[in-house]
Amino acid sequence: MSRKILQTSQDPNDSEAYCWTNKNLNNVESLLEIGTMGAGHATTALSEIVHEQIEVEVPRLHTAPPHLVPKIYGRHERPTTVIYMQLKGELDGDIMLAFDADEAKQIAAMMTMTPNQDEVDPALEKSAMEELGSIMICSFVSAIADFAEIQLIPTPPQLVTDTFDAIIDGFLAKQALVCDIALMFDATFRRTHSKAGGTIILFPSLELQETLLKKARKLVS
Amino acid sequence: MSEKMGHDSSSSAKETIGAYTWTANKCMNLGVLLELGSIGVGHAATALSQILQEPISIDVPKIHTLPSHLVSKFYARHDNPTTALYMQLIGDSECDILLLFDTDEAKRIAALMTMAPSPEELDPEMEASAIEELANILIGAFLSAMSDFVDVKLTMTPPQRVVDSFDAIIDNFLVKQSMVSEIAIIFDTNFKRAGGLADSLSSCILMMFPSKEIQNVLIEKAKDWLQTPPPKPDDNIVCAPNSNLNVAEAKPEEIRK
Repeated sequence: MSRKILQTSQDPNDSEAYCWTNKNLNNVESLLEIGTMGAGHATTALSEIVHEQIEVEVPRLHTAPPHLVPKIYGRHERPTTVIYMQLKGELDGDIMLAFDADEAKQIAAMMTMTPNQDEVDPALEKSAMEELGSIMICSFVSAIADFAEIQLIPTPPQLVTDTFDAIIDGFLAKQALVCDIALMFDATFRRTHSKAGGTIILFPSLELQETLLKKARKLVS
Repeated sequence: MSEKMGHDSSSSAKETIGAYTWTANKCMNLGVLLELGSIGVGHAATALSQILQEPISIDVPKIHTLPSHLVSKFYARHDNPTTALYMQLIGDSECDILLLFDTDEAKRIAALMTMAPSPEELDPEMEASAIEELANILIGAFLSAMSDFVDVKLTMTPPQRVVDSFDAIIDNFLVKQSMVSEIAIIFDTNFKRAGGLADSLSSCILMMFPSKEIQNVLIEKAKDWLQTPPPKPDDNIVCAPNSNLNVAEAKPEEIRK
């Protein structure tokens, strides 16, 4: 998270410390709440697409040194299919939708009405997943944008399949350039009849964090 | 660490990592602890100000959640001579409370309390006794404010006085916390005397190292309190003639006697 947002102490020595006062706890809570709202919309969209009930885990916000983030997720080498979109415009950020590679295949099969997940045409699978990502991420983003009354314009979705750590490293590096603590919001959801689930992860930029907080504060006061 | 303690190592890893992850529930819990601490600190500051007959300013109370090995770096007072008063909660749930003064500042305060003309002329035994008394009063006020609020019995051991370098003192407490979790949780605040040196090192720090159990007890009780409906405004008005007036009437009688 932005040092500006988290830090209340003026001490230059506490760069690695985590100290919580009412003020920055409130900030964390507001960001979490805003994210939860977006995640709710995104999972509703997914449930409409696959015509299934979706279970959502408690949404979480992480504020950690970037090198510890892979440990938080603990998915290290698992093959993961990620649909990635970037926010462009005055406020930027990265959003990704991560599925276990198997789960992604299954969902693609459902979307393309292929009876067997091994028979899905790879090109069709890619297109279906991108479409799914587009729908879910856009509903996530538009919920946030509506709330904060800002414009958030996502780029077209990009599909990557790689190990989980390899994928998030890129995003973490980007955040590490501007501050020594990474902030990300995530919400994990699962189809009721499936073992594996998906995770939607938002890496807001410092400006986006601050804009959202400003808006939240205005609403509260 | 966790394997030595015979715990499941994966649960310990989660604990470490958990410090960085926020859910709505966790925000709430930490907020509750912080608020309780703030209530206590307000009373403690009042007590200190009454003893010293001076305005006292307090820093915003904070909770630190950080890996134990970073704590001494965080305070950055490494080898400063420090007078510490150590107290512990009595009961099932463990909790260490520390009151830390810069050694010079402790002398000055003791001189004020004992009306000694200058800190140098102060009898060392007198100084120890005065500072211990101060800690008793301060921490007593701190704990009783908290215990009144959440309705938990919080009593403490008599204070023990230590003079050592800052890091040496807090290390002990960090070790204790790191036996159960790799993340130290510390509640702290700074008191500053208006008459003290402008240098922040001359301030007094109140630190609390809550154990898991005491955290849970406090949070649960506070949440219970939040859920009990507030008394209706009508009740207060109805009650006032019965209860409050009785008290008001009793006082003048006592004075007359």
